[in-house]
Amino acid sequence: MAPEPERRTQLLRGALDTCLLALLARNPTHAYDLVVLLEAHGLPGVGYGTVYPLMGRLRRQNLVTEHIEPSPSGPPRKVFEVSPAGLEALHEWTSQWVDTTSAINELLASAGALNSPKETAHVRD
Amino acid sequence: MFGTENAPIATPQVDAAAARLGRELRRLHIARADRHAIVAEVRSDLEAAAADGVRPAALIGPDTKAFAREAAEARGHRPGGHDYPRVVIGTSVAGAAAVVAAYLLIVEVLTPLFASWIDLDDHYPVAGPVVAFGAIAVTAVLLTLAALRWLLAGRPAARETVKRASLLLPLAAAAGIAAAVAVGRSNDYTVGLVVVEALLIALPVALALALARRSAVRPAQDDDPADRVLAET
Repeated sequence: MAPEPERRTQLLRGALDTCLLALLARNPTHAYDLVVLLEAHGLPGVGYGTVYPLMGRLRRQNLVTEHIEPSPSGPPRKVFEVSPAGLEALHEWTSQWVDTTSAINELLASAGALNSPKETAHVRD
Repeated sequence: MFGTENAPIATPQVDAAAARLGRELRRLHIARADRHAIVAEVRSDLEAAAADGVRPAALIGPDTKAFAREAAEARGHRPGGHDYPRVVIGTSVAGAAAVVAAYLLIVEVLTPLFASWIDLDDHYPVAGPVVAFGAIAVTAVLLTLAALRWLLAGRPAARETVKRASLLLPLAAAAGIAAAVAVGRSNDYTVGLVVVEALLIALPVALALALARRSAVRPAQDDDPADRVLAET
């Protein structure tokens, strides 16, 4: 069986860019703040070393744009925001995520895997 | 998660981390403007994190080199792709040394050794010089490819470059030698002629090495390196 962090990485792989776009669609911000927001939303361990390059990719794909904003504590900062193409991608990726997770949830429910192992064993008896 | 400390982190720590990142980006041959853009972006995040009491090392991670590479690749730069001088000049010099080494090995060491073992009774094989020069050429090419592999150790598309060079280098060397022989036969011997002959061999070899590197690096640029980022978290 794959170690826990590796499984978590695999699960996050296809969804992290969606999460970043969703966070930016609500509130344009910078890379470090995105890491803090991910942690606040229950995704700790997604480091700056992951988020910063990923933002670079989203920028290259023209899914996010950037602008300079004055900072209350220091020099002006570069802030990312979702572009119109990014919003389209966010809707499409969110829809894909919902469809996929719904199908998996249904599968797990029909197989009895969403119950606790004790209950599942009881149902089989 | 970042090992947050209560007190804000001092500016010198941020400066040091930004300077380390800049140095790593320079080692990756990232252009000055792009280097400054990346460092400025990361510095602003480091400052924001420092205000929260997060140390730069906790944000960037323990491996600044890896972070620099990923940051550069995510912006569309291919670190290590601009290493033509290293590939062309380094390998050409190694190639010249390889020819000398191969000549000494075949002509000065192996030929006298075999001659001392076998008595030919004054019947010398006509193909002997051809075999000797062929052996010198093959040995020199193999040594040159080994040098290229060593020079590119740890760099992107190193194996693919050597693979392509193994096809292009013999062709270029053969074409260069043929041109040098043709020029040599039609002219009287002078020092200038030797220089011209050397250039006739060196130029196609250098061109083949540059072409091998360019063609090996270019397909790699089409990959999206950011896809690898998550797998490394």
